[in-house]
Amino acid sequence: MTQTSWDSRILGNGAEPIYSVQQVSRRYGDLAALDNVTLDIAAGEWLSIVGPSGSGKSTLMNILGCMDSPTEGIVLLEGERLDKMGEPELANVRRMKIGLVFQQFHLVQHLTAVENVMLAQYYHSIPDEGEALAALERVGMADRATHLPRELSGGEQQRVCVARALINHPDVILADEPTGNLDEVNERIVIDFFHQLHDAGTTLIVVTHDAEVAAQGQRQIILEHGRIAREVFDLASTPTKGKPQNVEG
Amino acid sequence: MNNHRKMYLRMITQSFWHRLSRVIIASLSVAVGAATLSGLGLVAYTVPAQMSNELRSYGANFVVVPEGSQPLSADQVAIADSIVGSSAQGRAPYQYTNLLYNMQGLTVMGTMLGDAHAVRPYWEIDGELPTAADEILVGENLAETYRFAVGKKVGLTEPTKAEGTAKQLTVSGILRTGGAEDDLVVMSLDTLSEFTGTAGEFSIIEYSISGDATTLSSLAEAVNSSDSGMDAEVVRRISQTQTGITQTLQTLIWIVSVIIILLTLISITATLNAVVSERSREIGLKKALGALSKEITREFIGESVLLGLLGGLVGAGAGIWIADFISQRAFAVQLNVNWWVVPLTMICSVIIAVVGSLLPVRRISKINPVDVLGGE
Ligand SMILES: Nc1ncnc2c1ncn2[C@@H]1O[C@H](COP(=O)(O)OP(=O)(O)OP(=O)(O)O)[C@@H](O)[C@H]1O
Ligand SMILES: [Mg+2]
Repeated sequence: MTQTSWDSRILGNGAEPIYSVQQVSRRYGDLAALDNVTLDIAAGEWLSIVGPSGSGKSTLMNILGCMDSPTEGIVLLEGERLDKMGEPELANVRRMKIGLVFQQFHLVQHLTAVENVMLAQYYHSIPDEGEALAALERVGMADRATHLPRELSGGEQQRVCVARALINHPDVILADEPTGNLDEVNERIVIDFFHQLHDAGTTLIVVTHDAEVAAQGQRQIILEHGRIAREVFDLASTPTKGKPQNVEG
Repeated sequence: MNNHRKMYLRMITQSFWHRLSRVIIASLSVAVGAATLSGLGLVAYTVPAQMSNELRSYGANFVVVPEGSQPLSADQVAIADSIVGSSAQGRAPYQYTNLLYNMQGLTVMGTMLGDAHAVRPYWEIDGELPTAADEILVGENLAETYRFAVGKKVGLTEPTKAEGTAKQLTVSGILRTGGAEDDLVVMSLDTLSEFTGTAGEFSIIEYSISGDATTLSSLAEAVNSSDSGMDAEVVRRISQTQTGITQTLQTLIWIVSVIIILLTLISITATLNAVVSERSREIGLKKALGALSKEITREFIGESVLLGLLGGLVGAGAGIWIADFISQRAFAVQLNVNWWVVPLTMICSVIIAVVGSLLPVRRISKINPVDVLGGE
């Protein structure tokens, strides 16, 4: 568990990381799902998190997504300590700064595709059907906008989730196994889309089992038993087409 | 802001219609509650009012009779009238005598026909009240015995002056009362005086007086102490005992209503508890998207309002039907339904539905997105 001096390679000099995870542990009784993890994530970075099942990937994502808090250690998001925030502030961070993509899609079953996208707008600011349709258009789902989730394939549902995650232009996209339930075609669509977001400066944090998906990131973190076992820099495979620009909304 | 409102309505109505089976069950309990409440309410508040209208018919509640054996004179009637004064809603003097029909004695009641009908609104007349001086009413039993029919001529004579020819009178109507009048010939005082030759000799005056028992007995006291040869009596009519029945009925209905409200609340609480558990994944997802518990709570409450409106509407319809059924079957009263029963029932149902969801929605704040979204 070596803390490599990666920051100069990703961050450039003096830039503040979007996330700063400092000696974070998350324990369930005796079990440490995360064990003293320290990690900085640069704004605009594409970070892949890999590791065997049960290694703490989802636990880390939940903490980064402000849905869980560490039992030890602190997390800073854009310089602000998450542990100092109450539930309303954390909800505010989730709605303003974070876009989530889940392996299980998680759409509201009684709302149509476009309404599911508008839901994120609704909690964020003001629903705008035109904008929501444009987001679906971007993921190739415009013609299925009025379909209910159960009328969509898994890949289509996941594309709706991606549209929902990006509708509010979040600083960070957190994706836990976004392609885990997708066929190759849909996996490609989602990955291409992540590239577009990355190029636009969005920070991407992607948990995956898939080596090919992991290789899309600029950096891979390998978790084992709740610890960062290794880090791999994979800049070559992901030529960054644009400069990170999205620091602080 | 307008868009926000629109999306809110869109979300809650979508959720409402996509969960129709659940919604129907939940709104059914609201509807049953609303039906019972509106039904009982209608019965409790309209039936007694209509019953007392009809019960007033069971005779006057105040009568004045002569103190001795001499009939009352017109002057005495005037004195009684002035004592009773404006509290009389109706008043009719009666004169009784016997006349002969084909050598058979018939009891004849002379009165001011219009006034008598007002004091005895339970009179049912097949035909018309007499308008001409040679027209009479005959009681139902009498008509049956002697085969009197509307339009038939009846020859009557005064027994003491029996030698003369009978006076021919026309039956203008058959009187059905279920009471003593069914055995009488009823005619106007003018018609009667042509037989008796005496105007203004009365055996009894009936009053229908508005007022409680104390008013009535003080009026009776006033007549009795006026030293005018009259005896006044308060007559218990059914509407007095009936206020007691009405009160018991209304108390009973209140108790039943409270029980029904409680049962409806319990049923809504149970249903919504299940709904919150069922939808915990959706709730967790919304929280993950940044929704506050209170925002999600607002959505659930909105759905409860829809539930209350729907249940209330259905319930009010059913309630009116039930009330109509009860009032006709049990009380033989025709129900007058006010239109505002429907919105009132809907408002009550909304209140009940919202109150019933207050406890279940508190569980929304305890739902943790990580717990409900994690499951593979
Ligand atoms: N709520 C919980 N209660 C107890 N233990 C938990 C809980 N959530 C996670 N764990 C444990 O923490 C460890 C890490 O779980 P986590 O879900 O982070 O693994 P993961 O790396 O995401 O695995 P996978 O690849 O299977 O999704 C596991 O051993 C898991 O059993
Ligand atoms: Mg996981």
